[in-house]
Amino acid sequence: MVISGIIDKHNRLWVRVRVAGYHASKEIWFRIDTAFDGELSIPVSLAVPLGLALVGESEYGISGGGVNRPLKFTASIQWGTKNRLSTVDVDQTAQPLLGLGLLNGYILLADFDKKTLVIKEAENGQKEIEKQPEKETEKKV
Amino acid sequence: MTINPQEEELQTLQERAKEYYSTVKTDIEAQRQENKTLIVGLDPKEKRYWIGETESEVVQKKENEGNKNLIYFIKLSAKESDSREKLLMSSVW
Repeated sequence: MVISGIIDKHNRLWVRVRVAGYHASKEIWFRIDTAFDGELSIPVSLAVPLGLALVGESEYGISGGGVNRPLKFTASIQWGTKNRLSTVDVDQTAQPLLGLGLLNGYILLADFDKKTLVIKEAENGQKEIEKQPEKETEKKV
Repeated sequence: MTINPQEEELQTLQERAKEYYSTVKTDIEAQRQENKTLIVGLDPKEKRYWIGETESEVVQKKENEGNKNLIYFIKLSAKESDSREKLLMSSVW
């Protein structure tokens, strides 16, 4: 699975994700924020019309000091060719953000020269395949 | 004025989660991994917790058990980590 994004003239990374709640779904451009440990973050104005399901809250420190306590919602998102569950922080942020939580298990390839961005699955499956012949060789010996 | 039950639950979630965490802290701390931050979801209502590599993994585990309660997320920093999360955990808890 490969997801393509863009790199803007300020070298910020963007990827478009369809987010669905109980009431509606919407394609949203998220800026990839490697300082954000969560999965997705959207402002209240975007979250309310979607009708996301409340799942709880969390607490974490923010740069510059202080603590943020975002409400945590869940949404169904289209992640490449797959539909999957994602948590969504809803707070006073002005910009939709995509954090490291959603990139867990994926490879992020950013070519700042060509301004291209690709997110693809980590090749765990490939590693397993590569290990197989070694096991068979051991058995034969 | 009546309060939505979920809103009432949310108002006290952090406080109840802290109380519950103090009772299971040793068990949770024992599950720390090398070089990997984990996410813990605490349900103080049913005294349950779930651990995963991501928040959505924690939510999926909870929902697979039919649990509908609100949960409080905390980070379980890696064993040898001096990360910001570890410092935050020590200050929060």
